This record gives sequence, C-alpha cells and structure tokens, in this order.
Amino acid sequence: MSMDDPDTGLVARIGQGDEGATRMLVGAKLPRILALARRMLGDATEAEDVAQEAFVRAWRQASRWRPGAERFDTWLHMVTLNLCRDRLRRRRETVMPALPDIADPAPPADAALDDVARGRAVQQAIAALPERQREAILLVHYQDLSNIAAADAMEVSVEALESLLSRGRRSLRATFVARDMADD
Amino acid sequence: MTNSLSEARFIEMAEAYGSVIARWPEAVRAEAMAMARLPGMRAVLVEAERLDARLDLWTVAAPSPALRDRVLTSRRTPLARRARLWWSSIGIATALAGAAAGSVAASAALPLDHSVSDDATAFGDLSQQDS
Repeated sequence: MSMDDPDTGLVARIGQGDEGATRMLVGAKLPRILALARRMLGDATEAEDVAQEAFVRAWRQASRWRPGAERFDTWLHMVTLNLCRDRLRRRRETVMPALPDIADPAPPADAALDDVARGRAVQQAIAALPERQREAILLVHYQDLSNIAAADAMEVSVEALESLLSRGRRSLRATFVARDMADD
Repeated sequence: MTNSLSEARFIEMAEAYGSVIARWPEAVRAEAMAMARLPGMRAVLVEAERLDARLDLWTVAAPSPALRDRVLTSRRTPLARRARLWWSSIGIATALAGAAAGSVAASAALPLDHSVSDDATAFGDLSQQDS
C-alpha cells in the first residue's frame, strides 16, 4: 500500500523540481535498475540505455505520481522489465544471439578468475531458463523484491510467482549438479 | 502461536524463495524462523543456501559516474529541450514567413509562455495552431 511506500515523499519532491531529491533517488535506485537490466539483457551498453530510459520515464511520472496500490520501486521495476522485454523481443526478431557474453570492464586479478568463470556459468544457466522463470529469480533473488512486489512487477499472482521460482530454482540446481559432476 | 506453517509448506517456501527467510512472504516469516530451529527444517535451509551461494557468484558492475551523470542530466533535459524546440520552431516559422514578414512576424508569434506541449513539432505546437 502507498502508506508503506518509502519513496512517496522523495518522488513528490522530484515532481516539484528538487534536485537533491533527484540525486537521492538516482543514488538509491540506479544500481538496482542497472543490475536488473544488465542481468536481463546480458549486455552492458544496452543495459545502460534501458536504465537511462527507465529514469526518463520516472521523471515524467514524478509530477503526476499518485500513491496507489503499487510502490514507486515496483513501478520502476515494471518499467525496466518491459523495456528489457521489448529489447529481447527485437533481438529475437533480428535473429541476434540471445545473450551476448560481454565481460564487465576492469578484468579481475588472477585469483578472482575462478569466481568470475563460475559467475559466468551462473549467468549462462539463468539465461537458459524460460523467460518468466528467469524474471522471477532476478526479481526475488537479485533485486530482493518481496513476493507481492515481484508478482506485481510481473503482473502475475503470488501463487504463479512461487511456482515460477520453484521451477526455476529446481532447474538451476539440476544444471549445477550436472556441471559439477562433469567438472569432477 | 498458531501452527499454520506445515513442514511441507516450509519446504515449498525454501524451494521457491531460498534460504533467506527475510525473502519469504511476510505472513509466515515469524513462524518460519521458529521452525528453522528444527533439525529437519535446518537441513532444508542448508540445501537452499547452497543454491543461493551459487547464484550470488553472478555479480554485475556498479553504474559508472558517466551513466549517473547522464541519468541526472536527463532530468534536466526536458526544459532545455523545450527551449531548443521553441527556438527551432521560431526559426523555421521565420524562414517560411519569407523576407516580407521576416523577423517582425516571428516576434509577433512569440508565445508568452515558452513551454511547449507534447504536441510540439519542428513546425511549432500543433495543438496551439488554428485550423
């Protein structure tokens, strides 16, 4: 409910042109929104474009934001999710690879290479999940959204979200077990 | 405390939301915390934690200062863009008016309010034009 939305006051100040509030919102939300886009798209440049577009929409929304059934943070996640879905759809239509494997900048030291490789294996396993299972895991595990907020952002029921999460995690566990056995 | 969270449901929750009970539905958290002390349920959480730890290996880079600046600038852009659109519409209107009308016609067309609506085009604000 809006009464519980910690962003309501901040968004109202942004709507009135308060630059300090704008900076606070960007500081708090940009890392999360960029992370979601990065994990959805697997491409750093596209993720930055999506994050920027999501905030442009937030600025437009700020002056007319009316606290309602959903939180501002949930709304922002929903916008980001939809922008990413659009890009993935366009990518499929132009027969591009689903998830380009572009490394983040600043290559790690040798000691961290193993973790990076294992992190990339996680990325690949999640990328191989059906789209809705992938979204559910990104929103709940990585974005730390509550079950209600994640279900709202995906526009599904909480029961459906739970089912997507269970199936996704079961599938990931099986993938990792198979991979570990192959590595041994 | 009412015992509405069965062991079967506890396992379902762990399979869906993982080992961090703070991520579980708010309604069952307190009860789940209490149940987590039972050896059988503890083992369920340990198993879920193994997968959580694996998922946590996938990290992504934080936003660059350049992106942060671009996002902050995008908040200010609408006003600047409005001003640019306004000036470009005046410039084009002046050219179309021709030498006879020239800048006099253009200055006469200056709106008191410099804002431009969403219907603004390079040829001016369509919503403001008489048919």
